[in-house]
Amino acid sequence: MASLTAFHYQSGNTMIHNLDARFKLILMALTSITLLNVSAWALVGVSGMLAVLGWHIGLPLLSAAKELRYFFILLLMVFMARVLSTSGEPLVQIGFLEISKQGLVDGGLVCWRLLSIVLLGLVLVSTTRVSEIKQSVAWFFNPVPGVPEKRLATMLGLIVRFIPEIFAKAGEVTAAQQARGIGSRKNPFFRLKTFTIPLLRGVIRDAGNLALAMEARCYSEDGIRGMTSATPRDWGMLIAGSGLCMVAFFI
Amino acid sequence: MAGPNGSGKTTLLRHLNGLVMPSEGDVSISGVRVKGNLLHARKMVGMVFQDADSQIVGETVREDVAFGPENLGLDPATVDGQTDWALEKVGLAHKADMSPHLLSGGEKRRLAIAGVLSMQPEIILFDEPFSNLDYPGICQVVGQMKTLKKDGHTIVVTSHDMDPVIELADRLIIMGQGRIVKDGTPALEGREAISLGIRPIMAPGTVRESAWLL
Repeated sequence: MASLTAFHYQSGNTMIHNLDARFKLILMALTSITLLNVSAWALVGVSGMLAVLGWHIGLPLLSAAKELRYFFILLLMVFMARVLSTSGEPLVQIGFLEISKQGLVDGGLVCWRLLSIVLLGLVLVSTTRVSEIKQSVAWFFNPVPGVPEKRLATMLGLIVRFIPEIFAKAGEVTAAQQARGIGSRKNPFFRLKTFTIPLLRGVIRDAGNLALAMEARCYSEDGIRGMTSATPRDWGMLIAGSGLCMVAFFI
Repeated sequence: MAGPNGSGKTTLLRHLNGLVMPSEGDVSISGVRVKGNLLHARKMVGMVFQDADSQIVGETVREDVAFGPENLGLDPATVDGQTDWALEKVGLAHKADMSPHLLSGGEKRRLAIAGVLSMQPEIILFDEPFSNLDYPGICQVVGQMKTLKKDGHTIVVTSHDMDPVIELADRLIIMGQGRIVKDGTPALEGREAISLGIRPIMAPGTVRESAWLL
């Protein structure tokens, strides 16, 4: 039997699960901005709070780390780029390449910020139904003239729905390539090509099938329901969350 | 409906639901043209796709089954009523609040059937319903088809393997290169079946003969 990944909605009854999806999106945007701009000490505090939230909602961190392995490769590349491009007092010098203490700190902080934002995204997708995200996006864009808010909401909903599918498909493609001896090929571009093409082909085919299945079940953009009213608890959480972000800015 | 790969089985099914429009000729469901009356066609004809995974849209089993009735614009009480009825019908009521991704292959196929049933169509199309299913999964789906037939639904099934459904069938159509090459009663001898590109139907005692033919 299959199991849920960290990218699936995990049903629950925690305060994060019960928070209005619009407030979750606002808090996520505020926290992301905070994470990108605060000092190292504030970053420790905010990411610590995120880790506690992850634990509170029962986020499968180990499974998430396993599924994020490709993201870690990207992070490593970002780290290397920052280390090599930040000037400072050199610790090691290899030819024209220079590694400084400032570069290491700067690279580490950038990766930490990005990782914290991903953790924040995981908290959102694992506690919010895709339909709630869709309704919220439609609600936010409803007053904006010229924006097809329902179409935008559907697109976003489908992207969120497809994230776990893409990871599952990536796992299948990797296993299939390994079974056919890809390990003996050292050329990283060849390996990337043989991984990407079947992955894209599979994802596009699944997206086409889903679109057909939705059409067969009379899907239309008008089917997106309206939002219910926010409760005082939602407002309380929004004020508390925004307050914490403000405090983090001034540390 | 049987026939080799690429013979047009799925394309024909999609015409019945209005997912594909004919370049020539016309398709009517109960006397109403599909073209220009798509909503009627989709209310009348439900379709269970080959890959159950790729038609799941809900985060829970209940939410997925409610997707169709919600799209029809029914009021919430009717949506809930039809969703509960469909879940009960396919035996998934006890898993209503589970994530669909945790269901087995056979259960996912039953979920897809519930998703169609909740829209209360008269005709149900099954596109290769037994692919990627183990034996218990096939039995679950066949059991479901028997119930649907007993309830008065018209069922159209495409499959390479007609064994599981042949006893339910009143009519067998064999497709080949986009055309109907045989249309009649579901009796097909081994040699004829092979010449038409499908697996012979195994009546009791014919297994040895069919193995020899292959």
